[in-house]
Amino acid sequence: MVNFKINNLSFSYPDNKKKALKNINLTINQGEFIVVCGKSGSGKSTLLRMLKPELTPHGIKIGKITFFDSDKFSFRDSAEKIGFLLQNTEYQAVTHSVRSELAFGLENLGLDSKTIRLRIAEISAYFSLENIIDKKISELSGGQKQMVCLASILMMHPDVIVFDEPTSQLDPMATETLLNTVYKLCRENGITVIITEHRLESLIPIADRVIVIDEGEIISDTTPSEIPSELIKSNDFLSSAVPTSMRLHTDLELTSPVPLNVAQGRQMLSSLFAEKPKQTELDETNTERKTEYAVEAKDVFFAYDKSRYVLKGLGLKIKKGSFFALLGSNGAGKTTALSLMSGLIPCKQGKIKLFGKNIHKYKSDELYGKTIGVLPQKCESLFGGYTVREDLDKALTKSVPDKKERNEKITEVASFCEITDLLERHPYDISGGELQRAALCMVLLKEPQILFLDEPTKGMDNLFKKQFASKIKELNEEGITVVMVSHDTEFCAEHCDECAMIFDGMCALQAEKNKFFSQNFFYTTAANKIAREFFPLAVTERQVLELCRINLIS
Amino acid sequence: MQLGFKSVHPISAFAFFVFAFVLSMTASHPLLLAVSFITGLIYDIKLSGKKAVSFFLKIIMPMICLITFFNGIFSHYGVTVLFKMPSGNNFTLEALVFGFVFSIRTASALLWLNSFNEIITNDKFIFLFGRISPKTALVISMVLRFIPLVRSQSEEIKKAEKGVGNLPTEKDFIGKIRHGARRLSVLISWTLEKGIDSSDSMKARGYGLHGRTSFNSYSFSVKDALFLLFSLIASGIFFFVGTKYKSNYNPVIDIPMPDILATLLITVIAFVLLLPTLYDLREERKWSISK
Repeated sequence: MVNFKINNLSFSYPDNKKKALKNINLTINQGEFIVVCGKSGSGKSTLLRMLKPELTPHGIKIGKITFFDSDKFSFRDSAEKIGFLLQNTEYQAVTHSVRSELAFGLENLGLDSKTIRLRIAEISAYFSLENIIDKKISELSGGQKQMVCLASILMMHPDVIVFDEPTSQLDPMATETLLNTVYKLCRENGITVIITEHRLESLIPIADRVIVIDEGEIISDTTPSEIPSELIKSNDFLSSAVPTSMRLHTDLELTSPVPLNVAQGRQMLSSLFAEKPKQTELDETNTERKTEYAVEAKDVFFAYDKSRYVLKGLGLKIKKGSFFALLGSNGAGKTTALSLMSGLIPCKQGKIKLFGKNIHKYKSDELYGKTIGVLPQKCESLFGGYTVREDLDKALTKSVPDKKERNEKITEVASFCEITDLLERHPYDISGGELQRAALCMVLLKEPQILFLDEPTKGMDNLFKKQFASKIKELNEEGITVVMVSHDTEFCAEHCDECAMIFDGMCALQAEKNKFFSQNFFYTTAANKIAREFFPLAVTERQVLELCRINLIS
Repeated sequence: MQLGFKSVHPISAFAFFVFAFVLSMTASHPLLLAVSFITGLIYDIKLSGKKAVSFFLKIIMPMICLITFFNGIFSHYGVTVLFKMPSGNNFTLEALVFGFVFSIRTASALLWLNSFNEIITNDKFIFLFGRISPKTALVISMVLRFIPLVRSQSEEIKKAEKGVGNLPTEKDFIGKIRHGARRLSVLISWTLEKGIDSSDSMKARGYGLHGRTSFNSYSFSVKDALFLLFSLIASGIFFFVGTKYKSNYNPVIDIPMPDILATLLITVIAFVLLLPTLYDLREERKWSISK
């Protein structure tokens, strides 16, 4: 059955001459798994909202969309047949308990309690919600909330579910769980899945079709292995978003079938190197840093309550002017460690020193701003004014009383953060990535010596990650130490200097990044997984690529 | 699923509590007061254990003493003068006794309120008021979702501001006020902005279609009918006993002596008030045996 048939659709927002969508022609059949991708602002969200009549934005629409081959497609049909999952985990759940959230959609359709009860029983069994069914929404983790939202959509037995970046606020484990469920729904229940994401690593291998959008136009609509390699090269979004194995394939200009996952990537390398490659290591000279430590933690213990210690004798030494990453699974104590090192929670047992001085001996106004700056995870929490400049200005008022001096400083730091154009805009009119840069700008205005970041790359696309990393490198060169908590192995392997793994409240391993990742088997980058047979020490795609090239030429 | 009185249908449980409240607030006869106070205390302790004991010792006891004492000092009605106060006013037995009666009323109402909070959970509350209209039910539920959400966001803003170094110093009062206002404005714009997602999510799931129903997971069984019946009967008895044996404390203390019938009826009331405790105990025994 055909779910959607779009003929020559164009769309533009009111007061905006530029078309958000141009000449879209698209047919979507029942049971397909479709990935829609493109850089932010390309129009992919607008396209998705066209597929859900209730959420279609106001504007000028030319062309026609036919839903389910039917001329009369009412809101009631749409509510029943098309589910729509948004990215915001906090605000999507609107009622107080899991049970009432599940019932919400069916109540709207006017079903009686008996039927709803039956469907709740069914969905709880399918999603294993038994443990959380009696909980309140506010007691759930982000991943659980998103699962409940998905379940509440499935309660209505939809034919299609549209996902608008559903995992951008989730950690990798929760992302994996959600995507696996989505895949299962598509294959086992024949539900059509239309999904946008900025991380395509785990989506491309399982998709039926990949639709690439740029400037409001569909520039490619093929199966994953048929995405033209010229397009991967020329489109800067695709070139950074497709799986590592595909990128290696494209960059090496091979003609063999495109490898979509790690296993196929390994096969590709095996066929390339029938004999053992001669050179297996790159001699990269690491710039030796002074052994001056910005942060030292020794025997730090911490417990939120009597029953369970989160940290059990954590010890870390972070060099001045380096980019340091803390990795580890959920609940291992990463964020707690970061909060302790930045003094947001007081350290009661153990010692934390910043530049050789105990953190307790710093006065509060000396510590925050001047010595350390913490970039919050949700950057919205720093902005409440009419313009970005107003908020930045307010943050500086206390330390720099002179207005002119303040303006000069803002201009200077804003140009470093590349937000000069955004200064007069409203903080909520700019994108998430831009808002993060504005928040970084606010932190940097205070000239801190150590910068703490809690999962800064969550929800960023690869293109933006690169820009972000280069900013951090510049800060490092100025002698500023950057400490980050992250789940993002690829990012850490590419850009950090040192990494530490926290497990069970202790530091299991602290090492230079290449050593760190090449020692791990599961907790490492895709590039390392693909190439470890031949180049055990290569952890980033760049390293693997260079080694391949060297060996292929010789 | 919960056991005992917690599993009783919201309507029956609610009817029971209405009866308990009305009894504790309007009873004048000492026997009735004693019954409602003691049964209220027993059930509170049954439900909350140590917490209830400490609530009793730290709040209820001092409150009873204080109300009794202050009523004695500030009210001067009554005929039995115990002594003259330095201000020249009479300190009377009647005022003292009425103070005690009033404090016991308040105390038993508080004790029953504690149990009410334990038993009538948010879900039951929503069910009870959702009967007025499905919209009311949804609004209460959304408010209950919203409160913890906004609270956690407010915490997040505070933490973020601290980490960036925007918090005012301890002594800077004007700075603190300014900062509070700022925090509020951030909170409001954040909430309003993200609220759009809530409304999208509601629309996407068909909110606004005609004929919305209100879901509940409660079914009415024999035991629920019995609880309801007992509460109603006890209310009737109380209406009879309460009016017939009305006690007066002003200007003279006049407490009618209960005859056999009244004693019997008050025993029935006491039994009904003890029902939740007995039912809980019975269920606990049943399930611990079968373990």
